[in-house]
Amino acid sequence: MRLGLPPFIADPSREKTAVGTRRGYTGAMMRAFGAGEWVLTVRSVQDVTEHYRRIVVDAPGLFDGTPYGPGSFIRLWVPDPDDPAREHQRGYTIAALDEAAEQLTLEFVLHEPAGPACHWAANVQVGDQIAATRWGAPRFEPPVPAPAGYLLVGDPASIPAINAIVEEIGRLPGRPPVDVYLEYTHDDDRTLLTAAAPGLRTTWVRRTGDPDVLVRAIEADGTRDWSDWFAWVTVETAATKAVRGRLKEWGFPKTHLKAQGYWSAGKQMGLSRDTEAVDEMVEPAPPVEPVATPAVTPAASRWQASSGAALLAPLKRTLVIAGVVQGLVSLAELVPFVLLAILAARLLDGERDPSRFWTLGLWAIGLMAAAAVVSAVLLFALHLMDARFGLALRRRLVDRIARVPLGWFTDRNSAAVHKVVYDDVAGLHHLTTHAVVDAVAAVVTPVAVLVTLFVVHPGLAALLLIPLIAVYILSMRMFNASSYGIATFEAKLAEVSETAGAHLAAQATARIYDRGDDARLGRVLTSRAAFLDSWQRPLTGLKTANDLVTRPTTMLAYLLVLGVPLHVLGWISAGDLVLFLLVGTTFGARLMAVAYGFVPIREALAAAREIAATLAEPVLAQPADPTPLPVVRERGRRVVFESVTFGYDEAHPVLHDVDLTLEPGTVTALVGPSGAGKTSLATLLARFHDVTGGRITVDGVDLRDLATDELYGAVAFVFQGRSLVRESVHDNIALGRPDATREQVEQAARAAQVHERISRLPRGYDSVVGEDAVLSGGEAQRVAVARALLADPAILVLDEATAHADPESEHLVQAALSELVRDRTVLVVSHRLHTLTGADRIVVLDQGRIVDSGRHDELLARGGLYRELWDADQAAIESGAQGDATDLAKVGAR
Amino acid sequence: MKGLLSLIGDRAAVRRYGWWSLAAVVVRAAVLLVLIPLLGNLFSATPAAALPWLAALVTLVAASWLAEQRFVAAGFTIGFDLLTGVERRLRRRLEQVPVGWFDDTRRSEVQATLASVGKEMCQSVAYIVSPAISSIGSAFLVGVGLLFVNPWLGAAALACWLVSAAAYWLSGRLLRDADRAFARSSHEVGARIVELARSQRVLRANGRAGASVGALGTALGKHQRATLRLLGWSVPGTIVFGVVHQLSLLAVAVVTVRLFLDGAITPGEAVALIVVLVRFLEPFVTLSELAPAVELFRQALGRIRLLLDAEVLPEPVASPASSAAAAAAVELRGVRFGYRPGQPVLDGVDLVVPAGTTTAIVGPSGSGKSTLLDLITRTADVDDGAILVDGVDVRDLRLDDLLGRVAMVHQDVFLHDGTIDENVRDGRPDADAAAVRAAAAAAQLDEVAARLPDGWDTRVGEGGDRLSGGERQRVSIARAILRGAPLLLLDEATSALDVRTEQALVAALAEHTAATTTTVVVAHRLSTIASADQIVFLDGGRVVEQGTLAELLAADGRFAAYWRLRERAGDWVLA
Ligand SMILES: Cc1cc2nc3c(=O)[nH]c(=O)nc-3n(C[C@H](O)[C@H](O)[C@H](O)COP(=O)(O)OP(=O)(O)OC[C@H]3O[C@@H](n4cnc5c(N)ncnc54)[C@H](O)[C@@H]3O)c2cc1C
Repeated sequence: MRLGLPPFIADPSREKTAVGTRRGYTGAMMRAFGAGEWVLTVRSVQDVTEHYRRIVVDAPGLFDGTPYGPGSFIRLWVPDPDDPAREHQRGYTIAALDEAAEQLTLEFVLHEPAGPACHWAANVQVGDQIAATRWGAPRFEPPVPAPAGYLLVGDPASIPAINAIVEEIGRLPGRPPVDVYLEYTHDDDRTLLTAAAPGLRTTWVRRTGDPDVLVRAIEADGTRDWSDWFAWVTVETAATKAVRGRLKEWGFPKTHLKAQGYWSAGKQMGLSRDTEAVDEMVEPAPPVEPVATPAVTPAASRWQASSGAALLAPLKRTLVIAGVVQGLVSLAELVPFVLLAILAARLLDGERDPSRFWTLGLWAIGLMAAAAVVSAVLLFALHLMDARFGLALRRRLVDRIARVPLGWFTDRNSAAVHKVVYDDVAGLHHLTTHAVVDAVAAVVTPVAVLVTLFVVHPGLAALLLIPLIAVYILSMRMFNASSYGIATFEAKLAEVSETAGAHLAAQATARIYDRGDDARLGRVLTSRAAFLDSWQRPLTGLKTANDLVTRPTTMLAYLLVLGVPLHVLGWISAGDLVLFLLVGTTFGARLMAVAYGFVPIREALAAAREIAATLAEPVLAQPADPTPLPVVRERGRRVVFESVTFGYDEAHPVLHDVDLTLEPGTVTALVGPSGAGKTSLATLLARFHDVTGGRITVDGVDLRDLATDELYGAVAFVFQGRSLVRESVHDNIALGRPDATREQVEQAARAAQVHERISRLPRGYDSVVGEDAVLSGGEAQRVAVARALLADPAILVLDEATAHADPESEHLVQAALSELVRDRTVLVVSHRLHTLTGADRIVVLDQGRIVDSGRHDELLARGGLYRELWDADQAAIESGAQGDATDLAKVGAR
Repeated sequence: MKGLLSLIGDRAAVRRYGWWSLAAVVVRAAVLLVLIPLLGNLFSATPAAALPWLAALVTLVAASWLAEQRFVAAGFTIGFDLLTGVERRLRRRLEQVPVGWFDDTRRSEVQATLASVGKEMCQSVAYIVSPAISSIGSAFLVGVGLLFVNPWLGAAALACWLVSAAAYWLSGRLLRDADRAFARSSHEVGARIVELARSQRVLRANGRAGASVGALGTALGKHQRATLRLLGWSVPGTIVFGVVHQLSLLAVAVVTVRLFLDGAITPGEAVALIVVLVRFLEPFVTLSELAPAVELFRQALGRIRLLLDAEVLPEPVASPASSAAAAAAVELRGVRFGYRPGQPVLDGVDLVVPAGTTTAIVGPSGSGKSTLLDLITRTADVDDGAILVDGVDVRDLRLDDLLGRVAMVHQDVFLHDGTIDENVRDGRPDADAAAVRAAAAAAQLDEVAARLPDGWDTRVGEGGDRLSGGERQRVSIARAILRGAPLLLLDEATSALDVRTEQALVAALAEHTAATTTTVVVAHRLSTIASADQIVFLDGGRVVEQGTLAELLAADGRFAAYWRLRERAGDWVLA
């Protein structure tokens, strides 16, 4: 019958099944938890292999800005082949998606024996429709900081996810290693992994049905140190358990191990089972018994993930004490209400002795006051501890990053540095000050209340559980709905911050190029606002509902609706009812607080990990026992580069085998085409990085054996670009020598030809750069020269030091530099070759190697690269000056 | 509150919000008050008499749900309106204030505002204003309701309400200064961290990068002291608030028991009152939990006002049609200008730049060259005289119209942290790929892109820091070329380029800008100056010489002397 119908006309007999019918408990639960439903229409069907089918479907309305990622999946409601009124739910990965066309691609394994999903896919026609639900889809989200490598374990059913993940990893910086272990059934399954990444290593394992084959295959490679790796395991359920168990033994922590069975051998992936599987993603089930294979223990594990906990360890004792105290406070807070209930009971009993009321009343008030005082003191103490801890942590962080190779800073912008040093530490605040206390209160109070009330009147107490369930469902819904947007929102926030920062930093430029709603800033703001609206507005209803359900008055009404008839019927005494009314009304709100408290705790733990990772960044090693520099007479010192090799990462060496000696008191110039490694070589002398091979010595002492102070006392730098900080001009000049007197500073400024300019500033040397001292590039450059003069180093590195000089003051900068280089050992990098002709030695660098060196005349005579560079330089100058020369000649003739 | 109201555009929404807030507050109070007859009857000899009151309670709770729901929804509508409205206004304002208004502090304040304003605004009404109104309002109305139950009790309740409100205000007040100091200190820490990140090389090479030696270390210390101070000041506030709360409870309890002992109320009513009175002051506790959020919100409003209240460059409603007949693309008439009174930077400049020509501006540093360019783009207004673009005073043009006609390259190039391609594209966001490439090629960027690992998609880093000075300049020139504006202003645009690249670039620039493009260039390179149609020599804020290169050299005056000096600078060797 199907054959008789053109594919684009929906088969009426199937129509029914597309609209949901019997789906049982899971379906109801999922709807309650806020899962929407969509109808997908099949667009095209393609057989990738005999047993693997690709189906593209239209999914209008499915794309609402919710972030998708590799591994995201939807749940299809597939019709039962035998009972069209029944539908089964099956998870399928979104292999690809085209947001603009509102289409997504699904890929199906056509397995034997087939189940409903497989059957549907095998018989599908273009135009067929199917219902789908999306709910809390866990995506592949590697932990922050980036793991050391990725271990992916899968089979044909998880190929769509693994292809997407491998591709995503391929886009990550740093070419992390990716080990993929895949089970296959048919030989052509092995063609299915199509994604590529630089560090990809694939191992195919034939499926035998033995759940341990994968474990054995992974173990076979005993060389890997899995520390800080991230694992994604999605195979058959028993195999998943086996692999997960072994990885846990090897130290994979929860954060670095995502394991989910995608199907079960010999079993249907039933509805309720399927929800279980999802739960597993969030919280892996308890470990299964270790598989009986010889245990291979890979090399030591130094997991960063656990270092977050280590960071917080010193606070543990305090927090435990705080928890205990809070438990007592919570109980104490409850007692006055019980006393009030007793008071009320006495009143109703006709008790009229005022003194008894007073004692009860005073006890109640006294306890309340005591609880309030203790909890205030507790909070105060925790805040105090947090402030101390935060300061110490920030100091440690700053000291750490002051010693990492400079590449750490080039890899991230200032916002990222700000995040670690400021925001992440601030993010711990909630954890150290509120989280423990709140959690204890949120558990102790409701439990104590429920226990009390169950003792007093079990019937009514039991009925209290009903609103609790409502609260639970509502808060789960909220949690799901809002956690969708968090990552996207953070990204938008960072984008706005960066764009606004750039806009403001260069306002004169920005007001021309970044104007109006359609320009960059406008676009970024609009897109964030649109996102916030689409994300938060739908939540408002939920939030209000939450708020209203947990309101004390709501609970009061609920209790009275039940309690009034009970009391009228005489099934509950007045005193008991009053107790319910007094204490049974607030714990909904308290439970809510737990739900809300989750998010900041999770964030704080992530922040702790990030901080720990930064504190564990490898630093440029400080010598335990620094070698002092020998005392010398003459001003300069000898610097020797001995077979220096260097690269910012292993794959891209920048310098190869450089041998170079800077003789004391001479000027050595580095020239060469752009990208030749000149600046890298010069900054190695600042020890912003360590050489990868060879060594650099100053008067025979390896840079790495020098104390930092001694190194920076001996070497000074004038770089191009940003050279001043927001301090007074005086402090800027005295940056390296804070103890210098005003006279010394002025003297340096005079020699650097900038004293006069400084004197004209509103507050002279006390003017603050960026506030009331606005200096041009050339002026800033001369301040930097003054700084170097004051530091009076034996060795001087000049990196394009005249590049930023405004031409007006160029000759002033030049004069200042001439003063500076006298008698020192100088290494200078410049693209203005004609300024370097007087150097004692010119070294020509090309592609990280020294290709020539000598004095200007020698090099010129020899020809080669230097001659080429020189000719180009000269030709350019001449062609520019040609016309002038004739004009000048005319002037001369006059 | 007033500050907030003035930011909301949609008046009808505010009115709706007001009505629903009133309804919600009244019903919320009624729910509590109806408990008194309900419980009073329930705990009397005839408990069944409570049933009608129970019905009333259920009805009121249902009504309160409805009202609250509407109230919150109205709050959100206002919040979202605030969000988009405030952001747009802030951004507009940013385009209108003179650049000189910004200093480092204001810059970082405004950045923080733009970054955070979205969420704060959107949630403020629903999470801060609404709960506050609802708490204070309903507690007050319960007090009023109690007046009818018993005047003494009502009076006591209202007194407690007043004292609690005062305590709340006082505890906030006590914190305010400490709060401000805290905000300032965290700001300073933030700024110093950014400085640490961006000036790491300089700080490190001078031994100032560690926490114990640098400005950041000092800022962290201050931040710590501010934190402790804030913490210290929160103690009296908490105590005052706590004490008042307990005393209030005690007071109403005493009154209730007294009334009962005096026989003014039945035991049932007394119990009912206890249940109600325990709840009555609860909103204040909620409010005190909101206090930090309220304070943050107040500060956010203050920051928003900072920018919104800044003085802007006056603009006409519409620009007059530019007189097509105007021979000069740019004309300065007796322009005087100074950043500080008594220190003129430009002191009576007259200058005509004919359309389609190139004028080079030359002069010693501090002679006002860059200022002159900046005034053409109206970063500030002249003190005296006028600047005309296409025959119209720039002050009579809408800023959008003026700046829409301009492409400019500044001396200190700043790029945003995107790719090279994106940065070039900023010149004209709707340009097609071919136009972007062509502009980039003219700016000699091809060679740069070819060298970088990701080519055109290489990220330039914050402010363009990952590129060299020369590379940054090329990107910004490409951006200017792509813009294709009739007026091109170049301020030392090629100072960091090597001579060869500069030559190629000048040639390509001549080719790529239309014949109708008018160029004003501040330059020092002899080659650039030589190719200009007109040279203007500026000194001490005045035009001292003006003419073609040949004329000026022939005159053998200031320019000729300068020219010779420059040639000597070209001869300078380092050692
Ligand atoms: C998050 C998630 C994402 C998934 N993504 C995909 C995907 O993109 N593509 C895909 O093909 N599958 C995917 N799966 C697996 C798929 O959901 C299961 O294979 C599902 O059981 C198939 O349903 P069925 O109705 O065909 O078989 P069922 O009714 O569940 O089972 C019927 C029989 O088939 C066997 N069987 C089931 N699956 C397989 C299999 N993969 N290989 C061999 N025998 C099997 C069972 O053991 C059983 O005997 C995913 C699973 C999850 C949890």
